[in-house]
Amino acid sequence: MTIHLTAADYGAVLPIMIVLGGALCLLLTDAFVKVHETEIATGISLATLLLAFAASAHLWAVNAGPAFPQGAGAMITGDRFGQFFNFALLLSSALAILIAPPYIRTSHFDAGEFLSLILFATAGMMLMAASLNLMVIFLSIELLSLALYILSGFDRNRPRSQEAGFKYFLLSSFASAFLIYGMALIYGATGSTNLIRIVNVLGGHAGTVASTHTVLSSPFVLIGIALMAVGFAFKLSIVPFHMWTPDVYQGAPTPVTAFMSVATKAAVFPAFLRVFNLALGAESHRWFGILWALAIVTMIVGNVLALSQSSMKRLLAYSGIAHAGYVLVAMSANNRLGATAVAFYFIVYAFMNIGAFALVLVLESRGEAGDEIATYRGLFARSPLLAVATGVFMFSLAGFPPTAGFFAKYYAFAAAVQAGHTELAIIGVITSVISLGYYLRVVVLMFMQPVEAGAEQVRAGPLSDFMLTASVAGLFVVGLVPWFYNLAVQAVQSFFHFTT
Amino acid sequence: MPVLAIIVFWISTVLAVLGGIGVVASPAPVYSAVSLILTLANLAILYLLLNAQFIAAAQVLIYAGAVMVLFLFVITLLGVRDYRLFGDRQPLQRYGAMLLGALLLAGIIYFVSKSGTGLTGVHSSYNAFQAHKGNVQAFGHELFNGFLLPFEITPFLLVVAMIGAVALGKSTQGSRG
Repeated sequence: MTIHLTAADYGAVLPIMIVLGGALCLLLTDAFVKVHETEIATGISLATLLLAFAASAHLWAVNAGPAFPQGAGAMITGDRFGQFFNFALLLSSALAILIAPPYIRTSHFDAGEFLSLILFATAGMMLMAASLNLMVIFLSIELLSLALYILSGFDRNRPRSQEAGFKYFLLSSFASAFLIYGMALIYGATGSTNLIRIVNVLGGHAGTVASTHTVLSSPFVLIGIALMAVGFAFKLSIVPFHMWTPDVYQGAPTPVTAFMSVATKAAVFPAFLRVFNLALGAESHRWFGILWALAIVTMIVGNVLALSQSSMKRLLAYSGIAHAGYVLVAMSANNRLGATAVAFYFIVYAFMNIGAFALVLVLESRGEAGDEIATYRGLFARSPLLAVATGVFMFSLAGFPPTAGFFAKYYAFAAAVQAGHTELAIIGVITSVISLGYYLRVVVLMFMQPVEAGAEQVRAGPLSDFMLTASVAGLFVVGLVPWFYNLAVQAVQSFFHFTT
Repeated sequence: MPVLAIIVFWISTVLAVLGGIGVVASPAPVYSAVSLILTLANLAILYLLLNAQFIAAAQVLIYAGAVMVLFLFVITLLGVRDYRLFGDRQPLQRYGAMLLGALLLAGIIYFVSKSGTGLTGVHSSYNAFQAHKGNVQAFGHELFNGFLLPFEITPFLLVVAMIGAVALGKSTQGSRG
């Protein structure tokens, strides 16, 4: 047997290859270019992301199937489901890079190294969203994590950044061990690391292949599911594997926090869905209980702990934990609407969460105290544009109707109701009401409190202004124009097409 | 399985587990490292029993050899002697972890004894291995054919690790270091 790779195989990995190529290009130019390093590096990375977006859009149009090699032994897929998450990943990467240049300059970062690591992480995430094999999932999770460890500890003049990098590295490698142990047991029980073959052994949604009794009753499938759930839950900062999140989010350089808070989840959730809802679809009665409990605990703990935070970054970290809980509700519904809700959530989440971090970044440039929520007092008087944008992000995160945040949450809870788990939707709504306590506190501080004496005007740079305006506009457009939701519906069609 | 293989299996399994306990329980880091070598070497024997000669050789050369030499080198270079890894700083956490670990073990043993293993352990590409006589040849064939993509991702992992080593390791003096 020799492998015959066709143009379609290379096509399926093209967006990932472009991003990896761009990252290597950045490293090379970094060695030779000595003037305007930050501007040139930012330009190259944005151009790379744009090219990758075009390649991804082309793949979407083609709706390519399993590839590398094609057929049942495939490593990755070029399907629309993967491409949809690629769009979300490329978007969040681009938004994070747009806000990075001022931070890179003030912190004296090496722009080429910093931005190339963001591109490497993005490539690992895109690979993960497209993978059809447990081996590729593990390698891509390592690629993205390794890049993120380094990025978290990149600011060597701040001990807090070092602590974040080291803490993330130690805990995350521990979680990776759980993940690969789970994968090994699933491999032992089914005889393959390939998701399509695992479906064939265990029997998929459609029940195409009769599953043998011995495999279904195997304790190793059960233990494998539990261990893999731990590994994935850690990367998604799901309670009780969330301890690292506030410390890492607070310590890491703010553009990195903005990027990883959205993109890591947008990469791990599609792989989580492919492994649990597809490959282990026949075992859903075994894993549903795990996800059900995790979702409830995550929503409650994330929202309640966020109430008492005084640092904006920690507040957003707990808010991110809570949002992972909402997405988990959609995922555990294990139906078409649930998968659509997960996909749609991340387009919305990219805009609102990175937008919120962009605000933190602008205020933070006035010193460490900028992270305190108290500095938002009277922001409206100091900078109307920033205050209005923050207001929109907070309302969207809380899930108020005209913004896209409402629709994202609505579909997630609707999926749970459709699957007959009304209790998940009810807890979701109750915890969302709790979340108003901290989101609206920021809004009240900005608009209804007098400005402190001596506080000066706050101005963002032109790139940040552009990014903020685009995010605010994006939140209304994605929410009100049904085209985006239809895109997610089409993406999920290719996801379920795979098993039938 | 021939009787001799079963004897070898039990000897190396017991030694591997003892080595694992030694890594955690040793008072000094050097003993931990040496215990780890014991575990890794015995795992290599288990690989040999599974007819995975290449993995066994790689295990001895890379893990028991190169990686552990680096471990010992760093430990002796830093001069950490008699450093108690398990201080009594958080005894509650320690006993809690022991309890939960024992609970997990009991759960696994219960389920396995209740329903049998159900492990196939045979990969879908097993026939390709059988077609080739040499184990290394079959391994290389699979690596560069079916598993070409994971193989190609690994270099990028190394590149990222290298950038990390340079970025985190260079001097903090000045903006460009």
